[in-house]
Amino acid sequence: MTPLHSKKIADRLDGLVSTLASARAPLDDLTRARVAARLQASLQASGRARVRRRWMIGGALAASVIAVVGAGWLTRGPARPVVAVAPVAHDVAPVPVPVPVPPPAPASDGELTLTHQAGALRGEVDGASLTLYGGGHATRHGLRVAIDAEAVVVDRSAAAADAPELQLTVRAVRVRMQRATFSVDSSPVRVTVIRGEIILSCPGTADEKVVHAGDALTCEREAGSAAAPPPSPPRPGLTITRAPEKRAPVAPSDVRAPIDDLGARYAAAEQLMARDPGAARSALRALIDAAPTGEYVAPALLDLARLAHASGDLGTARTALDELARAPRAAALAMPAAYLRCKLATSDADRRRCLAAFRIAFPHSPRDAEALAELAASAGTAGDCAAALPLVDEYLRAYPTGASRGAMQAWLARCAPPSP
Amino acid sequence: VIAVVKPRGASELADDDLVAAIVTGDRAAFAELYARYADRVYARITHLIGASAEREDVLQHVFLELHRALPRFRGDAALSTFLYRITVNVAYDHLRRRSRRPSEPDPDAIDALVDLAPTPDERARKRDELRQIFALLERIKPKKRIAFVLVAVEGLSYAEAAELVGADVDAVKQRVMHARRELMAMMARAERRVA
Repeated sequence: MTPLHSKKIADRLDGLVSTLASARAPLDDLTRARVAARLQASLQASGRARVRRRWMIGGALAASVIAVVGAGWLTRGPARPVVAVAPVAHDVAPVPVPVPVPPPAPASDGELTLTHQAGALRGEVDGASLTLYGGGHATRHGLRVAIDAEAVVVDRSAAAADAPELQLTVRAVRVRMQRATFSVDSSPVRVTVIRGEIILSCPGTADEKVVHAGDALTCEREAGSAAAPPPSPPRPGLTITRAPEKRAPVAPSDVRAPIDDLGARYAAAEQLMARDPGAARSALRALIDAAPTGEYVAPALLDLARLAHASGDLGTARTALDELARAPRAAALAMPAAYLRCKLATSDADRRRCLAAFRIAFPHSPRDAEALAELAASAGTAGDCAAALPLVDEYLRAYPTGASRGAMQAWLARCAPPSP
Repeated sequence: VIAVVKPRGASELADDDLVAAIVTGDRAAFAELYARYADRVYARITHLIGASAEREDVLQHVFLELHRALPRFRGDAALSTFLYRITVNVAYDHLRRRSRRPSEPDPDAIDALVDLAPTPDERARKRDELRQIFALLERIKPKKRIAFVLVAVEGLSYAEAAELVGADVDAVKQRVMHARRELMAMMARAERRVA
């Protein structure tokens, strides 16, 4: 498609979308009444079923309690963890009797071993991978980990559902989490949750706040800190502001445009991305130029790189990623930026090298399945079955229901030596 | 009786009061909630799954799910947001099941959608455009379709759409971009075929 043709098609698509957006879908009275009557019938039926189920569950619970007490009375042995299963009546699930589980024994305490990889320090603790930017170190004491670094990415999204809660202190920010991926930038303190949820306390306050995936919170400056101006009005502790609805205070030198205006402009650019990518690129570039050190620069640069890549403008995409690497608060976007950079590689060999490095740097990335499948297919296409087979095998084991399962099985059939 | 249709807005009860009453088993309160939100939910279902006859089943399913979920509703978000999230989930499940047997838009339903256009020509044009966009949307994967409709058609921000579909903002952006690219490619192919 030529750019002109592409623009024409995009305009037509926008026209279709606009027609759909403006179409009114009235619910006629007959349909409304029909659905209401069916709802009423369903609710009555489910009410009767619930009463029946209560009786059956009550009976099963009583039976299980009698079974447990009876077994204890008969054996009179020492108390042991017991799971009693109720006699299975139809429509009744087995009833486990909960017993206390002892907490897991803490691993060895002290300084964590961190290794240098791709310009960052990396380490593992209790199923969490830590990536420290700008140097630093980490120590653990039981399930408490203290990290001192300029920026940190913590990924514990692949932990088991019953994994114990981990408590991390990044400089003065305290985080409790079970399964999540998040980043902390230290100055100003900004926490971005990428997956799962965490419980966060800002420096100088005992207040805790649950932060979910997709949210970014900025802690206000530490009361009494040397660098901070006198708080006005004076408030004990700190409050958390949620971006983008409420913006953290930004030093006047940081931006050249009012912060609310920037938020609105970024939201407008995001809207344009769905409707008019060309206009979105212009809007994002203008936003970056307006506030080159503002908080929207990093996401705007990543969006810009993606849009440029989508339109085949690889040069602009690379330039935007280079800028992003130097931008403030880029740590939170390190993973998607690294993946996009691999997509920009011009030769198969470069792409394979890049994807292999990406998988080492971000072992729990949501892009891992895609990267692994591409590596395997690329090796297979190059006729290197010896390299492809272990990758195919890893994919099928790690992502048995993954989107590329069919393709991986095809490569397995093509590359695997025929059985004798 | 739930089927009694009250004039919309007749009740002075706030959503929270209605929810509290429903949780204690008040069927009339649920009927009121249905009367209050059925139109909005139906319009959203139309955007999300198309102008098919299945919308009626999906509407019923949404309100059944709402009834089941209300005891878990803690008021962290507005009831409308909670309901919107359920609508999106039910629509997604429906589209996923339906992906094996793509649905044809209902011509009468399309007519109803363009009913307010001022002239016959305008109505014919809109009818044709709606048929096209529904046919195109039918051919992209449900996750991308939902994300695209939420952002491009319903005008939500990426963050709002991400919250509704339970994904991160980044993933939603990708879905919308891919959906757009796929829709454009399909349109270009169709154009070439005509040429």
